[in-house]
Amino acid sequence: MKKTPEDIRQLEERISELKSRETESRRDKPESEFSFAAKTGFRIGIELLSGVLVGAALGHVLDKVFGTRPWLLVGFMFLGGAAGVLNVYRFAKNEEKSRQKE
Amino acid sequence: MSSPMEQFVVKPIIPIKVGGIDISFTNSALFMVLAVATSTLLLAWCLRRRSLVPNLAQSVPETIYEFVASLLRENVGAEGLKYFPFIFSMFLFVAFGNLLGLLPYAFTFTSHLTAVGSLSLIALAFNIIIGIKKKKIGWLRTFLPKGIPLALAPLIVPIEMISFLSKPFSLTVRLVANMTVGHIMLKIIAGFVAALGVLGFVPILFNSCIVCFEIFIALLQAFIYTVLSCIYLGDALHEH
Repeated sequence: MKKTPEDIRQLEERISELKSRETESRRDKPESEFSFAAKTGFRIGIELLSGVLVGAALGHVLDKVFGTRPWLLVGFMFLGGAAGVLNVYRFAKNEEKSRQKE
Repeated sequence: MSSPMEQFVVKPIIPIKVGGIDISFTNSALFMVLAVATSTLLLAWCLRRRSLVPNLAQSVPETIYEFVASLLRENVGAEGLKYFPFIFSMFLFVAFGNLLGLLPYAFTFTSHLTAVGSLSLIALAFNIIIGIKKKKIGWLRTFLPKGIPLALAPLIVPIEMISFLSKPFSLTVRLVANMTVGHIMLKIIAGFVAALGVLGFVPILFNSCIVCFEIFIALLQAFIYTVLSCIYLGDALHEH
């Protein structure tokens, strides 16, 4: 079976119609408030925790290198907490920007 | 009854020792090989008859391709398409690792911090190399954003460094936590089947629903992991 230009034109029409219908159906269903809250909460919790843990790990390694146990561990844990808060702040800023765009 | 954590034990299949370092071929390694093999074979099989108008089998890899390409275009921009092979392989590896882990008796390597962590470290190394190549010495600006007084540098630089290093960690934890929780839940509920006797069909029904949900989670987490590595790549290429 050979495709004539007429066939291709009809096919293009069908594709564009289906595409517009698809974007329409996606727009009708915004993310539910609960799933958004759960996702964001989980993300922020991990972000805060990972800052402290990575800071502590870094402090522990540096302590071993310089032989200053336990001071760098303590200091870097606080810095890690700050880094966690910084990550959350950046995440929240981005999230707000993307929400305003919608 | 077996413990719900038993499924996560790494067992050596072919013990290999080189200079006191244990590099045995484990069940974890086996499933990584399987993930690579099945994804490669499946895509190759789907693409065996290439035509301009795709049939059903051919449209599957094409959809995945389009999907990952649009992810890169949205999060990194057109210049990100250069790194498409890396992101595409990573997506397939994580997605197949998650999905194969759902099969009975299978091992889920994406539920291990070390396995996913190594993958994240590769992404981190990739990010650093691209960043240095693109911005040269200006890459160090990542740790001291513009507009910060020099007096604050001793405080800001360590904080930014930890923030930079914690990104792959939080990326890893999210994937690992989701996979681990799902598998533990399946095992615990399956444990109720025998305990409830005649009423055992209730947890079986419940478990079947969870398995469907887990398939969705497996793909969703692979997607999230890929999106975040894309954003990560975008950070290396652009300013904040």
